[in-house]
Amino acid sequence: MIGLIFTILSVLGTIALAFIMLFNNRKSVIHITLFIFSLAFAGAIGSNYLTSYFTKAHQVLLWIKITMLFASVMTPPFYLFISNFPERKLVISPKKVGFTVALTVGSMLLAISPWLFTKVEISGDNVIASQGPAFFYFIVVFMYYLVRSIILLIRKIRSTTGVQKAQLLYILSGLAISFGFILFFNVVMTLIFKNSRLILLTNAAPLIFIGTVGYAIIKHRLMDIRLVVKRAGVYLANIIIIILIALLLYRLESAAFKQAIPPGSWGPIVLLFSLVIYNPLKRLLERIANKYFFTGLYNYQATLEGLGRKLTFTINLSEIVDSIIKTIKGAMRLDRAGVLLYDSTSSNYKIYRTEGFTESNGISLVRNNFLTSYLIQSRKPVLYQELESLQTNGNGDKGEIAKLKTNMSRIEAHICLPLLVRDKLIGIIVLGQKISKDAYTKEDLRLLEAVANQASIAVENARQYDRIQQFNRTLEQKVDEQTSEIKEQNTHLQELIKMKSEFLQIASHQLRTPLSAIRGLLSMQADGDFDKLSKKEHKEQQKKMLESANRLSNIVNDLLDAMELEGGYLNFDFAPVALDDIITAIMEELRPNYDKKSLYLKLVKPKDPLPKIEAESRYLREALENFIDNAEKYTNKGGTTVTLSRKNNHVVVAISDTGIGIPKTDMPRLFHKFSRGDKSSYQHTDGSGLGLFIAKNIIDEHRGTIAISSPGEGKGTTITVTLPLTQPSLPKQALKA
Amino acid sequence: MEIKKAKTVLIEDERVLCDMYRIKFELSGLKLLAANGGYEGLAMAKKEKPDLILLDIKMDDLDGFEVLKQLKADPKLRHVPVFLLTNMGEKGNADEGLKLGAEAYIMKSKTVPSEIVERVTTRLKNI
Repeated sequence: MIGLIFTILSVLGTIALAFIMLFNNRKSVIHITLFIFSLAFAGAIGSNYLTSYFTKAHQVLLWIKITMLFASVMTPPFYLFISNFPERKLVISPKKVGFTVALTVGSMLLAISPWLFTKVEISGDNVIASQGPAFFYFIVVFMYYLVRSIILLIRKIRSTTGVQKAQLLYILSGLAISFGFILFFNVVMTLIFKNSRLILLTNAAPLIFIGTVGYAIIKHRLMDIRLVVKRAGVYLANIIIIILIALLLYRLESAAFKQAIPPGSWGPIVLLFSLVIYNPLKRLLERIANKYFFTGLYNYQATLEGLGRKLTFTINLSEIVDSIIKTIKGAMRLDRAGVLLYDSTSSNYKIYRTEGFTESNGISLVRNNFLTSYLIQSRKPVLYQELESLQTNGNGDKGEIAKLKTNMSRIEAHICLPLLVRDKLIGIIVLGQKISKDAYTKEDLRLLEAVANQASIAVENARQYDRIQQFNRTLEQKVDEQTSEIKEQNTHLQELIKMKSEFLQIASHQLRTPLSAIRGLLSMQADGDFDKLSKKEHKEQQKKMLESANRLSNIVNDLLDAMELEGGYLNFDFAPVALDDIITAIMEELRPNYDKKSLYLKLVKPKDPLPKIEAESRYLREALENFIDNAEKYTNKGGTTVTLSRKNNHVVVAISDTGIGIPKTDMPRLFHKFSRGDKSSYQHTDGSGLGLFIAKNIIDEHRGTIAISSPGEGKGTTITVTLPLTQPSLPKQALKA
Repeated sequence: MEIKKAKTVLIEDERVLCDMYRIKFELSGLKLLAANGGYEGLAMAKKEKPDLILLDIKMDDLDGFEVLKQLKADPKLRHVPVFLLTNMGEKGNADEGLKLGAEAYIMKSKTVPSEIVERVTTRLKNI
C-alpha cells in the first residue's frame, strides 16, 4: 500500500515537473527533449511498479514490455537534450536527430515485440523473465545513449563557462544524486543489509533528478551547485551514518545477546541515539566538507578579515582603492577589476583605477545613467548574467538595459558593484569574470557586498579626509594670502599715516614761519620799535612784512590747490590752447630771475608749427611754470632749454637744466607733498613743497605724463611732459564713473 | 648778572626772523649774535661762550636737537641755558627738547619778539 502511494506520488510529481518545464518554453528543443525524457522516466517507474503488482504471468509480461517501451524512450532524448544544451533552438544536425529517432523507434518496436522478453514464469515469489534475442540490441542502444550523454555532459562542463557550466553541473549532480540514491537503496540496502523495506525510496530518484535539471534550465540563478551538493551530501551522509550505526548495533546486539532488547524498544533507542549524535556528526561532516571540497569559502572569510584590517590601517584613498582591487581580484581570481569614483566637480563617475581592463575599450559605463540610478535604487550589484532576466521581467527601460548589456560586454565586465554611503552612490566597483570562467555564486555576491560595504566606508572616509586636507591647504593658503595682503595694506597705511603726520608737521611749520614773522614785525611796529630805526632799515622791515605775507599767501593757496586737486574739486575746462604761447608767457615772467643769476633760458620749437592742444590753460601754465622755475632754482651755472616737439597724437615739452641734478634715491618721492630732494633743501626752504605735487596732479588731469631723468648729481635734470592733443569730450567726472 | 654785558646766541636759518630778533634785542639793549644754521651756530657758541642760546629746531643743515645734544656734550657749554625757539608743533618735540636739556620751548608763532626779550631778560638776571 505504501509502495503504491509512493509510486503514484513519484510518477505524478515527475509528470507535473515535465509539464511545468514544457510550459516554460514550448518551442525550446531542450525543454521538449527533457519533457519527453521525464514522461518516459515517469512511465517507466509507474509500469515497473505495476510489474510486481500483478500476479499472472501474461499480465507481468505485458507490464514488463510496457516498462521497456518507456525505458527505450529515456536515454535518446536525454542525449539530444545534452547535445543541444544550452541552445533553445535546434543546433544539432537533423541527420543526427533522424538517426536517433530511428534507433529509438526500433527500440520501441522491439520492446513490445515478442523478441525482447519471450516469457515470464512465476514460481512462488520468484518472477523469472526470459530474455529474447533482441535483448542485447536493446541494452546496447539504451547504454550507448546513456554513456554518450554522460561523456558529452562532462566534456561540456569542461569547455563551457559561467552560467552554462553551473547548469551542466546541476544536471550532472542531479544524475549523480539520483543514481547514488538508486544504488544505495536498491543495491547496498537490499544486497548487503537484506533490507528491502526502504527500496521504495528509489522512487524519489526521478523526482530529484528532474527537479535539479528543471531547476537548472528554468530557474537557475547564482546558486553554486557545489554548495547544494555539499549541504545535501552532509544531511544525507548524516542520516545514512545514523541508520548504518543503528543497524550495526542491532545486528551486534542480536548476535551477542540474542535479542535481549525487545525489537519494539529499538525505535525510542534509535531516536534518542540520533538526537544525541546528530549535531556533532553534522558539524564534523561539515568541517570535512569545507576542508576538502570548498576551501574557497574559507579563503573568502579570511579575505574579508584581511581587507578589513588593511583598510583600518590607512586613510590614503589610493592605497585603499588598491587594496580593494587587489583583494577582490586575488581572492576570487578575476581577470579584471576596476573602481570608479564620483567626481563632484564634473558630477560624473570617473575611473580611479583599473587592472586588467583593456584601455582602448574605455569604461563606457562611466556615463551610463541607467546603471547609476539602478544601483542607487536597488542597492544591489548588477550582474551581466542577470541583465537578460531584468530585461524580460524588470520594470526598467528595456533599451537602457540593452545598452548597458552592450557596454558591459564590450569592456568584458560581469559585475557592477555599488559603493554606497547612506543613499549616495560614491563609486562603482567593476569586475570581470573569474579566470576559471565559473559563474558568480550567491556566496560570491554575499562576499562582494560585504567587501563593498567595507570599501564604501573606507573610501568615503579617505575622501572626506582628502577633502579636509584640501580644505586645510586652501584655507592655509587663503589665510597666508590675506595675511600678506593685510600686511601690505597695513604697511601702506602706516606709510600714509607717517606721510600725513609729516605733512602736518611740515605744513604747520611752513605756515607758522611767515606767520611768526608777520606777527613779530607787526608787534614791533605797534611797540614803536621801528621809529627807532633808520629810514632805510624801517623800509627794509616793511618790505619783509610784505614778503612774509606773500609767502604765507602762496603757501595757503598751494595747500588749498593741492587739497582741491586731491579731492577732485577743481574744475578743468578744456579749450584749444597754443602751447608755445603759454611757454613764451612763462619764460617772459621768469626771465628776470634767470637774468639775475646770469642763466640762459632757451625755447626750441619744431619746424612744423605745433597744433593747438586741448587744455585748461591756467592750470597747465601753473604746472609748466613750476618746472621752469624749479630749473632755475636748482641751477647755478648754464641755464635751461625748453624743447617742444610732436609725437603722434601728443606734444612733448622737455625742460632740461644744467643744475644740481637729482640722485636716483630721491626720484620716487619727488612728487609727494612737501618733498624736496635732500640736497635742494639747503637752498630753498621758502617754497611750499607742494609745487611738484600740484604740477603732477594737473598733468594727470590732462591725461598727460611726466618723466624725470637725471644722469646724476651735478649733471642736470630733464623733465619731459607729454600731453595729448585732445581731451575726451565727456567731463572727467562722468569718465571716472 | 648785568643784562647789558650778557651775550645771547640765536641759531636760526630763517633770515627774516634772524633780522627781526636781532633788531628787537638791540633795541632792548641786549646783545644778540645770530648764526645762520646749525653748524654755524655750534661754531659760534664754542667761540663766543654765550650766556644763553636761542635754538631753532627745523634747520636744513643740522637740526636743533642735534645741536642741543652737541652743546650738552661740550663741558664748556653744558651749563649754558638753551631755549628752543621753534615753529614745530609742541607735541613730542617739546618733551624731547626738555629731555635733551633745553630749559624752555617757545613757539615763535605764538610769541611776539618783546615776550622773548622779556623771558631772556628774566633768565639772564638769574644767572
